[in-house]
Amino acid sequence: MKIPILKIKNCLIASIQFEVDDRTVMEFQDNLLERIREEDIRGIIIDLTSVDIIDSFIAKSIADVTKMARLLGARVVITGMKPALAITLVELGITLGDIKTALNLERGLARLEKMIEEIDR
Amino acid sequence: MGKRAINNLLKNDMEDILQTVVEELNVQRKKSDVFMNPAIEKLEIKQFLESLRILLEKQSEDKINDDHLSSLFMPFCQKKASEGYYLRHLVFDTLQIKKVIWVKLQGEMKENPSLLMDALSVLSDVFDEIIKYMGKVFMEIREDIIRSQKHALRELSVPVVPIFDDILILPLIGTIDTTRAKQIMENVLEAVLSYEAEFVIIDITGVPIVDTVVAHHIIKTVQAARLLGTKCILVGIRPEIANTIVELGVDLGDIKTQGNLKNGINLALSMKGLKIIREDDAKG
Repeated sequence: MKIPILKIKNCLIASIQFEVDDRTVMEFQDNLLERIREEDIRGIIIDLTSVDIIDSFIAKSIADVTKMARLLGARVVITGMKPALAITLVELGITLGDIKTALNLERGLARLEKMIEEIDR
Repeated sequence: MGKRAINNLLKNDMEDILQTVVEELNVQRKKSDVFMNPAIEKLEIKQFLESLRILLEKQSEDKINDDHLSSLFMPFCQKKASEGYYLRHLVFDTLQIKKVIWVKLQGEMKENPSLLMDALSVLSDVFDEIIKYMGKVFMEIREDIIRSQKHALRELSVPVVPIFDDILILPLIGTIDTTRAKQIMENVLEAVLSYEAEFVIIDITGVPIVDTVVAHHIIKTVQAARLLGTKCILVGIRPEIANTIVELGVDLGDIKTQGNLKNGINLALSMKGLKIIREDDAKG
């Protein structure tokens, strides 16, 4: 199964809807970077609303993809993380460094817009 | 046979047994610190003897039915437990009643040793069951009470207060241990989600000691909240706590801190691009 990536204006929205394995997430990484380059993307939202648990590898891959996207000139916001997931990640020592987060998709889009404005300035 | 003998004794000599039990207990009461209203106690013992008689009557063959036990003795145990009666006193009183009946039986059946043996063994069995049952029910009732108190305590210990749209205050009071820290983290994250909060102001004015463990828990809560997409502001750090934090070498990372709650609220508002101003100034 592939993680669907949708495009709105110059942003991409990827919503992870099922338990992902290592291969899916690697594929997702490639797809996302490819599309950023091809479609001149400025912002990306990775939505975790329906994710109950992720392991350290997936968490690291998501952290990596944000850094890679940044190199390509795009900004990433992670949205909709559940309390249980956040607690697990913190307990595992994964604090996702300087990744930007938002409560829900709406807030995430607002935050992303601001971040894009900041690069353009 | 033995059963019927006890039953007859209970039926015929009820008043006599009651009187003896009350007298015996009165002697014991004077030695101990338990005080009971004599009239009420007499009534309760009477009810107990009556229940015992019905239990023996209903008992088929040699087995004592649990349903009969609970229907007859449950209300009694509940009443005693809610009055704050101790289990050891209850067992003691019950054994006292057994002793009185035992002596009575011995007196009645001097001439018939085999019947006496039978009656005494029935008596023993029945009281064993009653005491076992009492112990079980008493513990259950006590555990229920403890559980509900624990729950109430937990509710009280983590209040999350919304003060503005998107701004929550978490006033922490009292010592924070690992269990409570976990509770705090869960409650805060749930509250963040349900109020869609953008800021959480953690006020530690009421926390007496902030050591590495407490600081670690606070940092973890802040990090988890950040993953959800919420910013935390730590306020109410007293001078001596600032001192310990620095001396212990605790790194609060990039957590925003403010001296008091007022400044914390102001910071949150200004980060949202809001400001509180006097109405006159707004007009003028």
